[in-house]
Amino acid sequence: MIQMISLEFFLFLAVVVIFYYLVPKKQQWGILLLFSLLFYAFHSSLVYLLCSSLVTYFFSLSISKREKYSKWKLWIGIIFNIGLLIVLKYDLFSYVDDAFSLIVPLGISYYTLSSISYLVDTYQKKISPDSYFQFLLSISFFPTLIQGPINRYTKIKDTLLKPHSFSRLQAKEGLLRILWGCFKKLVIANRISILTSYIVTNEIGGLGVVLGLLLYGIQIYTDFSSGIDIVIGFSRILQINLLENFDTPYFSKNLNEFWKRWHISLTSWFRDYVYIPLGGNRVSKLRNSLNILIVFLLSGMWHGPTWNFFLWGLCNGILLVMEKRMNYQPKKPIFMLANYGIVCVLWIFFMYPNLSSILSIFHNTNTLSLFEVMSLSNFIVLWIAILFLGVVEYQKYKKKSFSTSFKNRDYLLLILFIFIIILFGSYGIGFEKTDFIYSRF
Amino acid sequence: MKKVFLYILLFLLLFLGLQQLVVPKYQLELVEGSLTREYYEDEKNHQIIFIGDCEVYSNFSPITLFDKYGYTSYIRGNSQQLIHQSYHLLRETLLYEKPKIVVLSVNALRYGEEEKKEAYNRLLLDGMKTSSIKFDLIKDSMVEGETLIDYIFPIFRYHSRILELTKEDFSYYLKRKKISHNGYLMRVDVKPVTTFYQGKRLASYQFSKENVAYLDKIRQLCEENDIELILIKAPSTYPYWYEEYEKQIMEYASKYSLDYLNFYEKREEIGIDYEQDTYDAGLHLNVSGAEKLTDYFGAYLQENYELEDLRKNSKIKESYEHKKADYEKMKRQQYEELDEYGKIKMYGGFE
Repeated sequence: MIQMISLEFFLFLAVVVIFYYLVPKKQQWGILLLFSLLFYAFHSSLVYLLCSSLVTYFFSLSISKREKYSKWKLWIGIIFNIGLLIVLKYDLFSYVDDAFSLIVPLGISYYTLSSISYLVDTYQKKISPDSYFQFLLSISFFPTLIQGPINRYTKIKDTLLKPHSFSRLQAKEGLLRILWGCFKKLVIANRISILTSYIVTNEIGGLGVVLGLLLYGIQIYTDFSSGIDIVIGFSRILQINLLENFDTPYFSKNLNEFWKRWHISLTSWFRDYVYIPLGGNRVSKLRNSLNILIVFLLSGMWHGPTWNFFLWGLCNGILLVMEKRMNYQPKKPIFMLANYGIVCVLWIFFMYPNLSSILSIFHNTNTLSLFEVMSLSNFIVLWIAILFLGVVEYQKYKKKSFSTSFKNRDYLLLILFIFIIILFGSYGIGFEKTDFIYSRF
Repeated sequence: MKKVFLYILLFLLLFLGLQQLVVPKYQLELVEGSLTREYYEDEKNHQIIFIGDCEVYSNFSPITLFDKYGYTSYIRGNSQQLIHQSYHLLRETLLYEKPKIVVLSVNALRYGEEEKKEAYNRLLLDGMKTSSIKFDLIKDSMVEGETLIDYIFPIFRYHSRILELTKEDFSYYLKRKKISHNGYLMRVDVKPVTTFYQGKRLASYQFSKENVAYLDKIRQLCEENDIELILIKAPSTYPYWYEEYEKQIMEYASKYSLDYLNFYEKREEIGIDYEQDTYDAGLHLNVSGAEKLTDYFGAYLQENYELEDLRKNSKIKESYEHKKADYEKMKRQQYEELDEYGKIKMYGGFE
């Protein structure tokens, strides 16, 4: 598993930045492609990525050149990509024989969706395929392969392929964003994971589960969004502006709003390539409800071949249909808390490894002795960090950047952040390493 | 540009300052962690260097050795010091001085890779000066989960101590206590031997090839530097020292014409009383046992090696008189603690 917060990864990023700005500007995207492929080859098999990209490009080119049978070509391309994803992610060959079990290639869940969007956008004439290598870069830009965001050629092409000059301001902003990601992951997410892992593995019941779920909501957000912060921060140093994947999701007052603010690249992909083609809102209420259910079931299944994710998708779908049919659109801020509670209950499917462990929480009698798992000082640090996160998120919610309040003291802020992360992060020997939750998908 | 430079300077100062703050000081707890560092502070005029694990630093008293025979010595011992670590420490010692005799505890020859532990690595390496030898030592000692960067910048290893800082972490830089007496860790308390253990059957009694290779390297290093190598086994009653081990060592010593002393075999000659001379039921000697063993070993050296009696050297004698005063002071303190609390609270630490 790739450790995004590691010396090796950061050194690799530094080398890429150096080469990126050293080569002639026209070759910058070539350097990115080269390093992306090197990175990929080092961590996974290139075969599937190349296969998927070649097939996608071939059919896209064919669709754009000759309109005849274009729908067929589109479907063959889509089925090939989805087929490959299902076979590998669901490990279908292992059902024939264990010996045929395959390792899921790095980032396949992300580049498959990117490839499909390329095919569909070509079919819809939003793009016309030009260079294979430019397309390959758009789906294999290495930081986004680990846990997204899901790139779409139409949205990333310009920023990815355009020549860039080094900007100290952007670099500083990028660095600050990377550090913010490290803070969220090491100081908050990893610290909470000590508690939530304990609750799960020690079969804690009662109030311990409630506390665990409420904290898990923060854990999964800080964990996932921190990886995205690092990706966006690094891209910003290269002056590549990726789209945001989160927009203060826990300030949502209902689930519908939450899904517009959470994992935006995935939900917008499903909206544009599944929901709308199925008819979206312009169909009967029953059909629309079914469309919502389909989208969320697919979204759940995209996360992995387990009943947990299937049920998680189903529950989200049902609740969203209910919200829509009941026209549930609360205005008061207190509903943010209610919505957070609902989302946290749904995270139960992520927190526990399988359905039997979820069901057993109703019978578990073990109680949680909080300060045996985490020292009081660590607990205080955790809550101060969460409070700080809340303040920053609120500023963001109010559309203020938290770095603007520091303006000319950016370097001081960087230094302060570095030391807070080094000193108060949960990492190293004595702390069980936890991978980014979304790097599994 | 000037501003950026200032920020970099500020960063470095803070980094180093905070690093020093969080690293363990090994003053009140895990005092063995001070052993490596204290060597650098001593004058480098040692005729004898002891190298090995607790079988040297608990059992030999360099102050007694000088007091009775006029031989200067230092113990480069560490908890669970493995044989490859002994080799690298000897290499490092030779950068500072050239002793006449190296006394090596052979106990570690029995241990394999499974005995490598991060905690012991830290006790040995945290106080070691930066050099290429230290990097070799780290490389050969690291276990799974450890990284070189954690050794180069220990702040990454000890960062969580920021929430556990004590007064000692701040006062250390103003007033540091000395823990050992030329590498000897004193204990005056007594816990008699109750059982003489017999060893369980082992799958293999053969010293590993890697360990023997390091013993070869130590021997060669001594030969190249014209140093006499003496192999020793401490008079510990456990862990059990098998016949098979003994045989291998004796064969090795005989093959290379080295002296080998198994003090357990000579326990009666030495006069060790296992009712009185050990503080942990036979694993380590207490100060009374260590003084007896040192006296015996001093006499052996006097008889078999031509070492100069440095008590005639007024400068060295004066230095050892100070050391002896500290030694006696700590002994007194420990006896007082024993009387007052029924146990020793501070195993070391004289100002």
